[in-house]
Amino acid sequence: MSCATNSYVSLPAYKGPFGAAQAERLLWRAGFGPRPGQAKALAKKGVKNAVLSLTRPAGEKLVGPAPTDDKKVPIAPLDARGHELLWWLDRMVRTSAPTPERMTLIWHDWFATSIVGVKSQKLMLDQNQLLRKGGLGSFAELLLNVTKDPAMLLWLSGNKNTRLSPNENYARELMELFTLGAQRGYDESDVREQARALTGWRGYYRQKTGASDFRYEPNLHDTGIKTVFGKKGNFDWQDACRLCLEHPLHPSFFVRRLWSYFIPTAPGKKTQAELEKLYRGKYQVRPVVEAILQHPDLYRGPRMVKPPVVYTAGLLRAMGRGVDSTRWVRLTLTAGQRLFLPPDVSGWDDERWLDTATLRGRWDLVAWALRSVALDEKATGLPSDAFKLLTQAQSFWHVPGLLPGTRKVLLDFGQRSLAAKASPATVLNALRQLIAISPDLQTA
Amino acid sequence: MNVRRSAPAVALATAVACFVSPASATREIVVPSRVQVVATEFQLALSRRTIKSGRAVVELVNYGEDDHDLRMLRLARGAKMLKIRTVLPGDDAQLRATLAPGKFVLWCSIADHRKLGMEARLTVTKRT
Repeated sequence: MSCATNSYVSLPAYKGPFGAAQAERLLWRAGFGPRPGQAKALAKKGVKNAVLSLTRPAGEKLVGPAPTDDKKVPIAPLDARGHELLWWLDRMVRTSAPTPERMTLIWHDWFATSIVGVKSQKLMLDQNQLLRKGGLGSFAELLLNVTKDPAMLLWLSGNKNTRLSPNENYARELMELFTLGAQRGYDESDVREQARALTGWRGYYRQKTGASDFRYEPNLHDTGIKTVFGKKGNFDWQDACRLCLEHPLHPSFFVRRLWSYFIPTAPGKKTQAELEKLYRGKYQVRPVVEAILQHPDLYRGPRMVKPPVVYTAGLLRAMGRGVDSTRWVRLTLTAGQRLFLPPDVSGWDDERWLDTATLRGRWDLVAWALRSVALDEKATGLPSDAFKLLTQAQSFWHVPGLLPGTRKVLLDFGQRSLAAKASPATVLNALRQLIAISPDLQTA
Repeated sequence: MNVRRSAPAVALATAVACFVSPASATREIVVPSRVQVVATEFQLALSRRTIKSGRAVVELVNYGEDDHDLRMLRLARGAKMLKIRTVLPGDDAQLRATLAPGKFVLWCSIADHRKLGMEARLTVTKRT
């Protein structure tokens, strides 16, 4: 087996062939898929440099047309419902630094916060910037910033947590979802005591601007002695976070969860242990992400279903199309992932992206993406040969090869459609749609 | 008469039905001023306090648990009241209007919601 140890402790690094196919998988897992030609160019760097070019981009540029609504009017992320989603989707499509943007999406799922509870697009976008800024830095710092983030304070009632009326919402999720995992190393007493430690944050409602003026008010903080994980002290909100990070079960939770965003199978015991070692005490995200992205399991393991928003951004990147319609708001919702609206505080279920409803949603999504470039059914100059039409459809999506099963079904479909007197243009339109909805493009 | 269609024919028909030639848009683009009004019990929160005069889009989003509507009146003699219909919880609606410079008062006209606090002010400044 052609593996070697990478520079991070003694983790294995992928040393097999690294061509366009492997680079393409990397671009999907660590970003939003390749732009035309990008996978080939990335492959030339070799796996290690390819990964580092993604995790340590020199800068960021937004490439392509700025986002608009259907009437070509610039979007209004603060003032129009759904436009906050379009603003973020546009970044995914146009960014030259996809990995920091993908990390933002991962943290949005990890610290899942919903606009339904926050009720402010500005606060949701402020949180989004916070996640982007700290996405590849220190998890300890990110956790502190998220804990006092106004959107999170509203979402998990941190702004209602006072010494006279402790609220356990954030304390519970801090341990269950953000740092330790359900029923791992804490009990109900720790939840109550952590809630006391977290008291003191407050936000005020201002007429005209809504919830604002979030701040820590010492007189609302419970200054009594708390007992958390068996330790006693006059803990405050920063201690509450620190105690979770220093908990012996935190590194295993962190590694397992972060790994699951990139690789669908669990890490082996040795890999898990080495990644924990890399992370423990330092809390740095980037080295762990870099180690995962170089791991042989990413390149040799099974394919992974693309989250609906990643899939959508990828389609647009492949087509060279920008965000030019508000339709994406509804389409991504029906496909199962409306940004800023996770189903609950535990985020989206990354193992259940596809069902009969969301697959239909993906179908509609592709149809909308292709609508503006559909060929007239009477278009001339096209081959009347199913094999050539399929090749043209593959070129449209920049897909050099298809899985054998997909190829057989599509060729059969093309031949039967032509035999049934469908025009070549109609068949080509259909093949573009069917390739995009096939397992080849739904997974990477 | 029932006509059975082959699987490829159905897929083809479905795929083709998705494509309609887009209308070409060559007209001049006018960017309207926008403000979002979030209604909850019993408050109105504006995404901005000031917008420019001229074409505007006022959006009411109901994140509350009750129905809410929006009334909007320029504080000037003879000004016409602008209205957004009742919006159900979770829903939204928009008002497109041409706004003259001035101060506007906005409120929810349902039951005693205004008295309970659902009132806000918006300033419209002259577009330069």
